[in-house]
Amino acid sequence: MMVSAVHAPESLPAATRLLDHGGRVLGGGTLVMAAVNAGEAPSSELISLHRLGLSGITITEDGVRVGAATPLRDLLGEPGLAFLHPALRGIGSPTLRNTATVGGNLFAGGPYGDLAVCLLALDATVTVAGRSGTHATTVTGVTGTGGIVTSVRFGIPEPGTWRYLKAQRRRLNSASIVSVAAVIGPRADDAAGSTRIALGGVAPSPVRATSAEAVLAGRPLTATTAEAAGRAALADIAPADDAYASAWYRRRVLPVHLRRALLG
Amino acid sequence: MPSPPSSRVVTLVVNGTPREFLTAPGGSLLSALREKLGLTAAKRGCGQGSCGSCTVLVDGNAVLSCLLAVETIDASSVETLEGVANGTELDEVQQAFLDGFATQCGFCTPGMIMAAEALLSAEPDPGRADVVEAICGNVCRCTGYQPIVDAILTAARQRAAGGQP
Repeated sequence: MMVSAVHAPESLPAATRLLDHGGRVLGGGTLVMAAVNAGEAPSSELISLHRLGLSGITITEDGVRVGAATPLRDLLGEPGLAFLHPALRGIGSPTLRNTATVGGNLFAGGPYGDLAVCLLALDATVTVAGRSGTHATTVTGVTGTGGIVTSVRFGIPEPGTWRYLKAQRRRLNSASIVSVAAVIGPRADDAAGSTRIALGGVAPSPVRATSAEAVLAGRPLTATTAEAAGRAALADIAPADDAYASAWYRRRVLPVHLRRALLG
Repeated sequence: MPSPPSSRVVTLVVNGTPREFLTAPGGSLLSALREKLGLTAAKRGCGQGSCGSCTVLVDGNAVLSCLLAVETIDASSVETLEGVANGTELDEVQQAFLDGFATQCGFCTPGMIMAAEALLSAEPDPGRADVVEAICGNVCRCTGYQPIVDAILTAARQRAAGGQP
């Protein structure tokens, strides 16, 4: 499809009106412009977010708020988000990260979207503006909402509780074979003390490894329980063959990789 | 809402000079540079952000110009390889590429040099790992990368010694 207009609304109501008329969001461009260049624009009417003031990072004792249009580069410049930096540095190249945005990463889809995997493990709240105002959803709830993602909010995990590990073809600029992000319970804000595990590269979009979480619930994290969790996670995935790995290989890698991620 | 596609006027400061041109809806910065402004150093390789041959600087940051809708960066400052040399005098990075045989077919070279320029502006004394990371989005199918990495490190040393303006 050819592009007939790139709108640059200056208010969210104006942007959501355009969305309701069939327009599609253009963020940093790394996903949508790639489609445009291939003659596969998601709509003839694109809605650029660049005049909406949706970029910026705020860190308070209540947590972190990141505007949807914030480039990934800006997160790498924020010392308060150091725990996310290894994951961020695994996304594309520095050049790509100068324009790729936080909001866009939620729509990257497997085997991309490592930040979305992290945000799912962090139980991030995603704010979406739509026709009837804004509402809060989750990382897995953004698709099909018919709105515009405006920000994500999450808490910074307690020291020593964050895990992230990515299996990839190369050390730099490689899509995911398997990405694992986890917050090891107990957390201050989670009385049940549960561990949250999110996986990337093994399904069309990031998934919670609920079967693995169930194995760990109420049990100490040991080599034995971590290995059992790794095997259990096979029930949570729907891997595909792609240019980076086969579904077979992803299934082979996941249990080992999840065990390694959990044990740090 | 549907209306006939209409071109839009965009103004950029390109290599220090204000340039005004018309862009078709959804046109990329790369298309504008090559087709509107006649600046053909930045190359159209994949059009998907995978190869880095279109790398230029926008407001000092290295970007993939094929993935930027040019009408969304109106009034920005753009630097391309054409603006790197001082007249006929190559800058340190260009000279090091030439001296170190870091160019073979040359298709990746403009993007490689702009990625290197962005690195050296931010980090004048990079280590080898910094250089490798800085160009990890730039594909070269000829050199095997080592002469390119060597050239960028050489350029950093020469710039530090020579006092680049």
